[in-house]
Amino acid sequence: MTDVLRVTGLTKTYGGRRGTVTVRALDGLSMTVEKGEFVGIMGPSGSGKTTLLHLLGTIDRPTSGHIILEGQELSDLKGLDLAVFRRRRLGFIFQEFNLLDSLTIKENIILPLALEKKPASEIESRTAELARELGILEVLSRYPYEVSGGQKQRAAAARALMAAPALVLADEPTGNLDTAAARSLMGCLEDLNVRKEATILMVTHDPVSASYCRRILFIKDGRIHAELRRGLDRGQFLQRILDTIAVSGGGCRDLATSGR
Amino acid sequence: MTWRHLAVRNIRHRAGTYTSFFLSSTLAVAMFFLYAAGVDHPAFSGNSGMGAVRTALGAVEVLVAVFAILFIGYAHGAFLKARQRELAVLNLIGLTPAQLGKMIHWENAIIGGASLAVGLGSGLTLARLFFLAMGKALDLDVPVSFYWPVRAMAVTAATFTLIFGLLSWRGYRRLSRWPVAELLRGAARGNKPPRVSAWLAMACFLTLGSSYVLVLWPGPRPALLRDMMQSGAYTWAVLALLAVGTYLFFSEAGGAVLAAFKVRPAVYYRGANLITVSQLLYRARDNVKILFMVSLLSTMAFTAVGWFTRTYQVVEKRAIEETPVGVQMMGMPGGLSPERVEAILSEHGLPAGAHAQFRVLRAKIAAQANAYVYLMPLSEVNRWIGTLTAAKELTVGPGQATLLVSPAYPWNPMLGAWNLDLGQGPLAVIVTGRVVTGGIFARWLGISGQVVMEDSVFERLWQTYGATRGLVANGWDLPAWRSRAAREAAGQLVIEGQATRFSQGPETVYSRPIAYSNLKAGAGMALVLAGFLSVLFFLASGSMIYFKLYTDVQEERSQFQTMIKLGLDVSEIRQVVSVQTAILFFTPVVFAVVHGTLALAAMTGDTGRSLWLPAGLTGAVFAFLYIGYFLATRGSYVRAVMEG
Repeated sequence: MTDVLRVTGLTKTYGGRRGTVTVRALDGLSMTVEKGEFVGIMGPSGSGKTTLLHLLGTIDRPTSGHIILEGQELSDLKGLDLAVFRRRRLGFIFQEFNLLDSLTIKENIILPLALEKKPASEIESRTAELARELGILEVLSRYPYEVSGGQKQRAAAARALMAAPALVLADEPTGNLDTAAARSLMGCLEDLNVRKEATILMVTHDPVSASYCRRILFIKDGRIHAELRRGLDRGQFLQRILDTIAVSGGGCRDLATSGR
Repeated sequence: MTWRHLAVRNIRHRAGTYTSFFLSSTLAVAMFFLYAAGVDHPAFSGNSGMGAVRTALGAVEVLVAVFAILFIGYAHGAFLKARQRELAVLNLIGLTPAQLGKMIHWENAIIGGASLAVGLGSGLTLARLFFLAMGKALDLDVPVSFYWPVRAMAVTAATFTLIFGLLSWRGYRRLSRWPVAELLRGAARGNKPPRVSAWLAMACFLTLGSSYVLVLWPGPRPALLRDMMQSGAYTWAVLALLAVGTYLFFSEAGGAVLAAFKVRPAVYYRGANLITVSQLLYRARDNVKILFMVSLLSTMAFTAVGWFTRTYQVVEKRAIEETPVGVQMMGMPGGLSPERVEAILSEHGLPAGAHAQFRVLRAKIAAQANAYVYLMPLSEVNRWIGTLTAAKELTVGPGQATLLVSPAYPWNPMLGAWNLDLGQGPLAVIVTGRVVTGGIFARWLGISGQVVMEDSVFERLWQTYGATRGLVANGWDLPAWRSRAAREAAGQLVIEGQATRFSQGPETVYSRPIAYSNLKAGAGMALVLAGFLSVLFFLASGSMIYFKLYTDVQEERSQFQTMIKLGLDVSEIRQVVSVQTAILFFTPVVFAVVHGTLALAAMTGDTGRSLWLPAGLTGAVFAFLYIGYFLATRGSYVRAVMEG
């Protein structure tokens, strides 16, 4: 197995100018993700999960440390190169879906390939394939406000996978979904991970959603605090996740209460 | 806390949203007021030659009011939309509809009152500056002075109090009718792209087509069209057809073009095209409204300037038509003598030009009071034409009498027997023809017609009536008729002529310098007004686009943020913004030039080259100003998007 992502000594501090308090969101964090992995990131509020995701997604820049995605050092990228890298190598799934209101579901999905100016026939066949996989074929011609939250998030997932990126970053993808929709989405992501070998890194609060991952990293105070690997049985995995959360104790209360 | 307090707090808290609405309202107030003040200016109302123009200006005032309603209504709609969520929350925490209404009414009263005050204040200041500048620039004899436009202020205050009242009521109705859930969803509510209808497309084709046909009619126009042209219904019909056609064009042709994009994946799926086209479609309804309003405004501005440029351009030609001879005078017993006229001219340093004269019999038309006809001998008239003008000599066959008609005042009286009265019983003169000529004086006041007859016939009449009804017309060439000296000499001639003229007789002296200076002053005033209007309309339409985009930015910032996260580069975002902004700015200019030229042709009944200069010039100035406005707007739009 080859590493898709290699993070070493990643630190991010906020503030610190003119007497404001310095906040250290990430503190020398290191991790790797292999090709075809489905990794979950868990941790209490303020542990640095979102900061990590922003840094990996090139939306923010680290104070120090290295992020190497498929051999490319991210901090070397600027301007147009950064934009192009983002749309070719990364896929995003957000908690708020972030579909464009003015585009139909289908148009939202094809946007990354359209920006790459790929031939229309290739775009069409890829869209059809992913839409079938994610079960949103029948809503392709609708606008985002006409479909359910679960459908929106599955469309966002299709969009994230459209350009066959090296890494899909998912930020609380089930945070705005009801239980059934959340399960169906996680099932889809698991499928895509297994069948299309999509490499996925997902931040979540929800132990049930996390139990679909292959491996889970727990973050606390800006560092990796624990790691769990899933065996064959998802039910058992869920129980181990809940145990880990319970052991982590103080500051993790918000995790336990959100369990489904 | 009273409802007034809550309203004041709201306004303070969401300054951006309110500022946008406040500024658009202020702009509309200032624009309406400036227009009304311009139309009311004494310099225009005092000028007799402006009667027809004033009627048109009054009609345009109504149009400006309609436009203000549309504009403020649009801004108010966007304003409400931006605040839906907030109002829904108030609704949820238990505000009764009556309380909500009170709050909305207070807000509207505060904003409306403020924009009325600021609009009137800035309007007054601008008007003052504007009149000063234009008076200086045009070097008018009568400066365009500042005055207190009381009527304009009153009309503006009344109109806008009404508008704000109506808006307040509409806002309340809309908010109290929509379900709270709908309000909570706010701006994300769907905006389905409109469907293109074959019927409306056909209507668009018909309206635009028929207006073009009406104006560009090949060959002689049928009788119905000629009648319409005389009554002015023609111009209005063309304008109405153009307006309806333009609206349909934007909604139908625009929709069809975008739809055509959608079914061609090879183009549609290419880069930022996808976003550009789908955003245009998504905002189609708003876009059509704005495009239509801006096109209408631009066309009005274009037409006004074009029309008055053309009028100014033809002032000299018109002066020559009205007064083919530099100075003309009817010599009558006890009147000004030709020697005195020449003396006055040389006193002013004007060389004595060629001189000619002919005899005239002044006959009353029997059946009418105070209507007179001049009878004139052919050979003497031709000598006058040959000496003093560049016109063709006249021919009158034996036994014929021909009515002379000036190109400046074409009319078409009945030919045949005219019953005249020369003081000794009735006399019938058979008028056998009509000829348009620029060779004889255009008019003597109080004269209904000028009839040229064979010398032998005239001699016979002269022998009988010459002693009692005979007069002598004198004319002098005046090459320096544009000069100040000529104007002063002409002024003195008029004064001395009036002092000696008959109590009820015709004016004795008529001169080109006076006609020229009057026409120039009138046309100059009109040009001032047109320039004023078009600057106003230009500012208004540019600002409208700016406000529309500003409102859009508020809604779209998050959308653009998403695009950036997905890997859209700044240059691609600029491309998306540029195309949309450019369409809003430049489509109306194209329409203004095409339709404005057409409207000019309809107003002047002229489709020839004489329109090229005013149309081209105005169009160029417009395009130039719009490019500046476009660049500034696009720049601030992109900045606003990237800000978040």
